[in-house]
Amino acid sequence: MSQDRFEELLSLLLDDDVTAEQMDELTQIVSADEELLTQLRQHLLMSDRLSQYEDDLRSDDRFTDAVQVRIRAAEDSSQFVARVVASAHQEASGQSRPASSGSRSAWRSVRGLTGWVAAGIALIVLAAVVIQRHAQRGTDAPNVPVADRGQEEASDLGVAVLTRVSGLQGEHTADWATGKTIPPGTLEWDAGLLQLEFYCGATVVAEGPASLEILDDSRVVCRSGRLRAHVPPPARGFSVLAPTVELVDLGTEFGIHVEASGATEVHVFDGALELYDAKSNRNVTTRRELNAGDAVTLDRNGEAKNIEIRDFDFVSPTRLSTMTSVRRQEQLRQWRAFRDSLQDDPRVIAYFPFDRNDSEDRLLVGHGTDGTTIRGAIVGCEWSEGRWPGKASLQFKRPGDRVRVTVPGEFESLMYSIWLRVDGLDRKYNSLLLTDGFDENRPHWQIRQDGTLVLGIWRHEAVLHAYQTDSIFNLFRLGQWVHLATVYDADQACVTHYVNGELATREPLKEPSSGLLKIGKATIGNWSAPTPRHRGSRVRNLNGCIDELIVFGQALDDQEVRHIYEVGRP
Amino acid sequence: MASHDPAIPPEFTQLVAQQHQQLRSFVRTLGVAPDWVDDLAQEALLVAWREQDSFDQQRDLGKWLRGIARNLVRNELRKQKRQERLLHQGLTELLVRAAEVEPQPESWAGCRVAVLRDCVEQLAPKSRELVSGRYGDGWKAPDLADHFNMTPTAVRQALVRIRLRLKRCIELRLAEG
Repeated sequence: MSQDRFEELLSLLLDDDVTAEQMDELTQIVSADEELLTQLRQHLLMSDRLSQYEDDLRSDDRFTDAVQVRIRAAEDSSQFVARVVASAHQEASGQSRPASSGSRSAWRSVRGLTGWVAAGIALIVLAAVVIQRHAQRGTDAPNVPVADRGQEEASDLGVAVLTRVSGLQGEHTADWATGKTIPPGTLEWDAGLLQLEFYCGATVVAEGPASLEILDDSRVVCRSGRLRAHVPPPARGFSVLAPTVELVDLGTEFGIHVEASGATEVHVFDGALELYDAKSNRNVTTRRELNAGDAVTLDRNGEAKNIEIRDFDFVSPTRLSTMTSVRRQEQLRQWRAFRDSLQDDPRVIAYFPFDRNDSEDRLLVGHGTDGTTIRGAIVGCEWSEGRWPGKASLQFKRPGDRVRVTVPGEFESLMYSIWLRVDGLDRKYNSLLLTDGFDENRPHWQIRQDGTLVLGIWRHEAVLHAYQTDSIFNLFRLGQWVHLATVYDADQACVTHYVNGELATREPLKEPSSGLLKIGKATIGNWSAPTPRHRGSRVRNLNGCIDELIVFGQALDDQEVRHIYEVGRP
Repeated sequence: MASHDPAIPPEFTQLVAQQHQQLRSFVRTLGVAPDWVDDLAQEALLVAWREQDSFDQQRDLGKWLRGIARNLVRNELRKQKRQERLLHQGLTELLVRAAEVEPQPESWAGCRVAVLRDCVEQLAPKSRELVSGRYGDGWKAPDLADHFNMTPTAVRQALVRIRLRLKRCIELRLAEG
């Protein structure tokens, strides 16, 4: 058998382009020739090492993260196995013994029966089944990194979207931003209003102090708080459970107020609804129907008394809309004051507030050092609405969309701050601000397809240093305004990434700073003059909107980053 | 955000960091389909995690992991229906047997990334681009052929030669210490 034919088949195999017949033939060749079998193994080995080296989807970090995720999943499910085994024991022996909580020891006791490899595999299969069932029930934790490439399937575990917020106060409300997807769980806050649009079609405006537990896309437990629900026909059957009553909507608009004491008021503004005693499992003997104009108060024992209806006590979606827009105008005013203050900040080397200039709307005008103006050339991008009504942003969509800028100067430290809305991570790398090409000490700031924020810098002798976060973008964060900041601090010898004002990662410099950092000619939201080395990933256009970009020639501290976030938070 | 489970001790994380590259490419030499290589390597590490108490510290860790991987692939062969993770049953049988006789196909199999990187980055520009296109962007020979104005066969032959050149380069560097 000729070496040529072997090489031909081998190269087809390594090109993932081989037929079953060719595989049969190749197998026959190498089974008869040990030397060729060795060559085949060498090529497979080299192929895989090259793929590990070149393919970002197989990066070290991704792989080690996936291992950790799977270990945790397996540990969780082994507790499940332990419980099953323990209950089987109990049934067999007729004893009622509490299940062992020591998952590993319980697991080890059954291991000897089956042999450890088979048992390990059985467990992995079981883990997969358990995880899948969890996911199907919609109760699995969101944002679990997926281990298998090509197996990824986006799943949305939310049941409602937070569509308006106003004056929220409370320990857990920090990340309750408009656009947030809400999975089942408890929402508790001290004051302020929020609007939830449930996937079933119902809209609920709730006012704190409140404690709501969202069970699924059409059931809410209201332990306390005041809420108003608008339930159009497709959402009929939307129900609210209060401590003393269960309320089933028959296509209408109603309000419910549960006091901390458990006393409850129900007001029907439109349509009709049914009331059942709480915990009666909708027992028809407890059923009462209320119609438009009816209002009742129920004491802790469920005793009802008719009262006057009070529409105005329950904020409607329209009124909330007016309230939020007043509030947003105030926020915009505060941000404008901040914007103006930055013009005199000597640390700023480039500030683009993304204000639209109607007479020259293809120019992105920014401020440089010492009162200079930086004129960025807008290519392709279109103007759009920013964080607030009345604030502009630039939308980056097509592969060509970009803003060309020049930022002069050389710096020991740098800090980037951006407000953006990412609509999708379409590319292997999605540009925030990329210097042209990729030269020594000229940083690249971008988001990778896996959702990590990364600052990359070539150092001398072609050594690339990448400083990156864990994945910060998932289905739940796409489409929301987010603040990202990255500080390269030469004095403290570290790189810090921030997401929405919070520290995400801080990493020491991979080697002492050598030479000053320089931006020079660069591109916002895309990459110009890509290097031949990166031919495969030269298209790096962002899919989303940017409405503020600041570059400082110095490092800022945690508090200052926090301030930029707070003042700009929509 | 950053989530490092305290239940996974740093020793194990370190083991993964040290061994995974070699383990993954070893799994590939057993005839596992490229898209399933990392999956199977992760399973091997998962078994290792469960069995870490039974591991004798005096033994060769890499060898132990490779043994686990071999068992997993053997188990894969026994499955009647779910063999999509393997390239070809007959070939994998041959490769698993070969791995038992001679567990490490190459002296350089455990080479560090730095050595591989040096050799890859030294390639002539066109070869470098072929490697990056094939392995970084996942292009197949016909796509690469269009781009480089070559025939698909010529692209495949070039890649065979490049892999051999890289192997020699790595061996040379390891020999030089």
